[in-house]
Amino acid sequence: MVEFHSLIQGCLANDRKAQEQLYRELYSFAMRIALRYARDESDAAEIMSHAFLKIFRSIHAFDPSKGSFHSWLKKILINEALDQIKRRTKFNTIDLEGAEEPGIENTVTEKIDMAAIMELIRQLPPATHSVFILYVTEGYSHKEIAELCGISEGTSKWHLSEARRILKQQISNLNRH
Amino acid sequence: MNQLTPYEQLLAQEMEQLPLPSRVDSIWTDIQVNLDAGNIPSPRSHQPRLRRVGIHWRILVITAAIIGAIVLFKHQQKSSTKGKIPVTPQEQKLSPDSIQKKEPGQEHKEQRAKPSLRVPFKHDSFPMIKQDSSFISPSPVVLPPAENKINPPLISFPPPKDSSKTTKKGRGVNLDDSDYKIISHRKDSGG
Repeated sequence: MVEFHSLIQGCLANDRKAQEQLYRELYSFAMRIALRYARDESDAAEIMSHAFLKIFRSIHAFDPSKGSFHSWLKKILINEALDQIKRRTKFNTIDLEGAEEPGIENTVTEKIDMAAIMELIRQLPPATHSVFILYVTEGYSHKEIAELCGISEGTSKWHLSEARRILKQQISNLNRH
Repeated sequence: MNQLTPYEQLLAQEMEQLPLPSRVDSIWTDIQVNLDAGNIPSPRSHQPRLRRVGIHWRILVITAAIIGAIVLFKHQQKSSTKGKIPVTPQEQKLSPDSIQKKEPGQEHKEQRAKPSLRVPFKHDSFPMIKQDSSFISPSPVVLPPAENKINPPLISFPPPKDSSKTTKKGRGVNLDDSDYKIISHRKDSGG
């Protein structure tokens, strides 16, 4: 912990070695987040590269009293990932208050390789994919997702419902084969 | 807490254990290069839309301003040329000094070459002249001298002695005494 703090101090002094060490320390944590939003490894690498550049440039803005360094890094990574998605695609504005939520039985998914399900998630439309990840893995509420993505809560609900519908269809197709 | 379906809970757990690609060094090289170059990663990330819209608006406004300037410039050029072209011949042709000084023969030749000069002679009504002058010279500076110059010849020119001769002269068909002389010369030289 003390070492981590000294690394941040080194980064504040623009010490290249400290920057490299901090990056290597956080690689696994950051790469897992990047991979959730990326279409492939090169996308994830781009998110990582941009996010760490931002971190090193604005490390003086990090306030330990507001939260841990990891949560600050996670926020920057998610923002960078969403920016990348926004550059590629557009979030549709659909206002649906109550969205249909199709479910999938656990027994169905247990039979399928997790890597295959991950591949199906990556094949979702970019906006739908990011809303699904934000809701399912990050635990953000629809209100928070709406703020992050610049959409309405109804649109966020619609994207989640759409992701579930597509995944259900795709997983049942995989199960048949 | 969000309500997740069982498979989503499983998915969330699995995502924490995703196999990581071994791109540690390549990504660090990229970061290092950008840090050395002093590149700011993505300034558009905070307000991408606003900035893009701002740039689009700027381009649109600049283009509109350029087009507007060109149109205005061309319009001014047109109006200035319209004003200039007819004014100069009027001044030159209809000035009383230039017409009065000319000999009868010279005047006749000029009338043949430039029939516009015959306008005041043929139609001696003022409204006709005013129409032309207003069309020709849009600027108020040019108009008064044109009127002043047109009017005197109309008054100062003596009325034609033989009205039938003068009208035919205007068309350039009738013959003068001088014309008879020229014809006789040619015949002598030729024979």
